[in-house]
Amino acid sequence: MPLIKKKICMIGDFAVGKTSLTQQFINQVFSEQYLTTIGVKIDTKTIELADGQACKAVVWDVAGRDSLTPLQTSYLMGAAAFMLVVDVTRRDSIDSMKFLIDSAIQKLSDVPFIVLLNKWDMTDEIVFNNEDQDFVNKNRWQFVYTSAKTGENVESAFIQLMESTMKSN
Amino acid sequence: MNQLTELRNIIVGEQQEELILLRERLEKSRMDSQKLSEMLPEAIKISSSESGGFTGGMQPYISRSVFKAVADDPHGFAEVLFPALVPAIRLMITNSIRALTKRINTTIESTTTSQGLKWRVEALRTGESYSDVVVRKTLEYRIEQLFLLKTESGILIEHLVNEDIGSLDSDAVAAMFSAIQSFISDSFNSNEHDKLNQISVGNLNVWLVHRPDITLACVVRGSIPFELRDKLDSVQDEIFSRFSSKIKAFDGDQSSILGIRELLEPCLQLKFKSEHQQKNTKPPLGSFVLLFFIICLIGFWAFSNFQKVKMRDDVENLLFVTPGIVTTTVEWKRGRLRVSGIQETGAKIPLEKMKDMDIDIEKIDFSIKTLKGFSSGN
Repeated sequence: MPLIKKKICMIGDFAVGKTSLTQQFINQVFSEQYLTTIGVKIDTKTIELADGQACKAVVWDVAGRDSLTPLQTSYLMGAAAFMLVVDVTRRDSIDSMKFLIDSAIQKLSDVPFIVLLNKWDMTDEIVFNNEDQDFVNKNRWQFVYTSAKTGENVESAFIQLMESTMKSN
Repeated sequence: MNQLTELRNIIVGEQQEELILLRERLEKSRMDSQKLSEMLPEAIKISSSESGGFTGGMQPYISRSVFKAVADDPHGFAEVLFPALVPAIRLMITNSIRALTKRINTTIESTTTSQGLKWRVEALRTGESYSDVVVRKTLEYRIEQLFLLKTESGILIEHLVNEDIGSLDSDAVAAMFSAIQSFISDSFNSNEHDKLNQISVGNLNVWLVHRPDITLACVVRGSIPFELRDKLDSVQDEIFSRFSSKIKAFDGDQSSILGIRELLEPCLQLKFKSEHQQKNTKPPLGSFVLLFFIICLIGFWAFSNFQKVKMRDDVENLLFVTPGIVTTTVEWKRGRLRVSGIQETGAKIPLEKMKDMDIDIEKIDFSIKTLKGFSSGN
């Protein structure tokens, strides 16, 4: 079967763990040190889907958004799918979910996406509540609880998203 | 007469109608073939230029026919191809030999000239291999890599690289070209139709040739002439005209677009600098003088060393055969030959003989003690 390449964009607020998730997925490593991403960082990894199809994910780790820096949507152009990363220990990050998804959909129209509810290992600090969960469910967004630190659900989230891109072709 | 015609109609009328119909059919078929022969070349031309579907459709049948024809009559095929192949093979061999000769000349020149030495020093200093330095200094330009990518997504459609270039993640690099374009558009609020055309880092240039949906990134070491840019433009045009529909539908499956590699391969070119462009390739007079001086110096050192050894051996041998004298050491020290030993009372150092042997006795320091009752046994 031929190798199929797909562009996957990681978006989200600053310091939610986009780069850590990417590094955990690509190199299975985690660092506590925070280094802000400037512009975009690109990595690739080949994965095998359930039907045996080999796929190469070209992961665009886009710089995080904050009150001063808007989301740079031009990096999203041509993406086959995107991942919205949310820090479950930060209220502002949870509240910006809808805005970011709308911004990405405006640019990409109908592409699959998944919400990664990250830092799930920090159980004592989680502020993501039932109301937020209902909101996600109500919008019928695909979501996964992840931890870049422990690697929980990271690879499976990428595989799930790649499967969705293959189905949407 | 009418009765006769009626009778004929009754007897053979049916057959006559059939004959007329048959004739009409034959006539129509002939006309159709003629019409088709007129239309077919034009139809093929249109089909080939618009979608390439005709070429694709015919390819398996033509390939099979050619294989069968060759298998059935290999000699006949060889005879047909001979006039076309021989000049091509000859040209290829000539070019290969010419390139090899040029490379050998360059290597010899670069190893023996002052510039070669300079390049070796540079290679040691920078940590590059010597061959890399030679290539960098003698090349006018070399197209090292070609990336054909979807402009928006940066997904790589085709990648060609020179054999001696190290491996890299070509998909990530291709995506980065697209990211740089986006970064510039975002950061400087440039018009979305404005495209990044060139990236330069030292001696390395990346040329980006844009067409709708696709970008050809050409990684060039050295300064590339504008004629080559025209060539890249025309290759991009050809790719776009032949594969535009497939490129539009491209979903990341590289195998869905075949034939681009063949179009890009001739673009992986390199050109050496002409001789007058390579400064100081001929050794300057100063180098010859220096080399001559070094050779003279080595010759002088070797000759004087030989003279010293010869003088020491002569003195040692002479004293060895002189009765009543025994030497313990005969050696050169600070430019003088020091001779130590013992001698019997009355024994004499054969100075006259030494002079006869052209030994410079002024350079000899004798330190020979006289011992009573000593017998050397000579």
